[in-house]
Amino acid sequence: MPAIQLCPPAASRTSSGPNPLPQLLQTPSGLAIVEIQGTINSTLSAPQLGPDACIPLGKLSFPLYDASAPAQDTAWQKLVYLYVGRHQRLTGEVKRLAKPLAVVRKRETNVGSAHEGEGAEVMEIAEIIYYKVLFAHRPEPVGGGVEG
Amino acid sequence: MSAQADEGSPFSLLPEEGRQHFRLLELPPDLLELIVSEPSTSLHFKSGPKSSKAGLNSDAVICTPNKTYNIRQVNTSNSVYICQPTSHNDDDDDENPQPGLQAIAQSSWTLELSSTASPSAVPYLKAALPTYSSTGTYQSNELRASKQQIFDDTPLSQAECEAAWKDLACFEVESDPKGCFLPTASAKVQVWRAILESATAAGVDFGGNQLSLKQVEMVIDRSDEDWPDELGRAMLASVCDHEGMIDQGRGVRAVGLDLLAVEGTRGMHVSELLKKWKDALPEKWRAAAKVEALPRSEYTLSDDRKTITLAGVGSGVAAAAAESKSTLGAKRKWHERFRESKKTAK
Repeated sequence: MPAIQLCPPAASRTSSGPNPLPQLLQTPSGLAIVEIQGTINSTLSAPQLGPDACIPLGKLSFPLYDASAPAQDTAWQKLVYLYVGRHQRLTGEVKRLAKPLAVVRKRETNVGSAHEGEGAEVMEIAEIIYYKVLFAHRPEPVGGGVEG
Repeated sequence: MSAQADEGSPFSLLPEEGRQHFRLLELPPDLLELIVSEPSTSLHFKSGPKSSKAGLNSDAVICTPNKTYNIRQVNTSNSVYICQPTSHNDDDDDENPQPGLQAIAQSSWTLELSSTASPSAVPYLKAALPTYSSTGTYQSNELRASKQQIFDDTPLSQAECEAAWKDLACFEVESDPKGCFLPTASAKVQVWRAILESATAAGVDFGGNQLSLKQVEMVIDRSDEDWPDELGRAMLASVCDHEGMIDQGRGVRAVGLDLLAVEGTRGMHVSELLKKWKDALPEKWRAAAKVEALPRSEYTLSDDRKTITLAGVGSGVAAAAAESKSTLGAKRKWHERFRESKKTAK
């Protein structure tokens, strides 16, 4: 069996657009991990998908986060909200990973370059992630647009 | 706190068909350090040949140039999403796309890494390589794999493979036949004796300090050799340290083990081994030829330490199993014998 190379994160990696996450959770490639206890079931069918052909879930918010506050202020990490639709809210927190995670994917190879032999598979570390957002509580109902 | 369902960044999921495929791999501190500080270090996923042989791991591993990590897949029932920033357009507000987060992949399992207990590529090389025997016979080798191809198929790091290759005195031949071979213990003993004789005749002082492989190679007479040069070189390399200097400890150990492998698979007298062992060593090494110089896992002693036997497949575990197996057999035979005598007694 051939050995499969695992490439390190590309030093030149960049994110595709502005990053809505707090600085601590931002990575050069923009990749981040959100973990939800349980599963998300979508009853949306294809025509109901949003304009980007994605399933809109809701909103992610860090209500205590203040970008101008010093980095030592970490209280904001304890409260993260994920609004699902208009009627549910998950409460979570930012957790530092005991062991950082490498996000590994198969590298896209050019079909034309057969230099390494036919289809030499190469994997790469797309990013190294040090923190994740974890939602470990059951969703609670919230009033839809009545207050505030 | 009032429900602010309108606050926050849009969070969406790509439907399953559009999702990318990622694996999550936990990084132990030393591997993380290596990747971050020396990103040019080569890393490889490797796996061994499918085999039911004891001691051979067919699971996947990750290797740095000199270290191997076992991979264990750990599942979670949680939904772990890998997300990236995206620009969302609210339905009626194309002017101000709001930055959002989109889940582009989901992983229900993580790969955990652990260090291998005492990694040795020896069993893999022994399983993969055809032999070369003292009669000059090459075992058939249809695969003709190169040394690197064999290493690629071994779930251990390059350095660990090289170490085993060197210890076993494996060699690679370019043609007629082509391929890699593992010399039998008899072949190694034969080659070693010839090298020793030739070097001693040429005045090489094995007891002196700092004797290099090259120095020995230069003086030995090759004209009578029936074996390929590559084997001669491999044999010498197997008794050298990592700097290419002849190492007495390695030499004494290698010769003792090879002699035991030739004659001691079913047990031989310790006195007999010691005699042959000393005969096969340079004069100044002979005092070091003692049973204690052999790795404990490679032999068993019996009969009040007068008989020595090569351990089963060269591993301590196999030796213990072989020992207990033979004891069981003996017990059974005793019962049978007793039964027989009982019958005849009537």
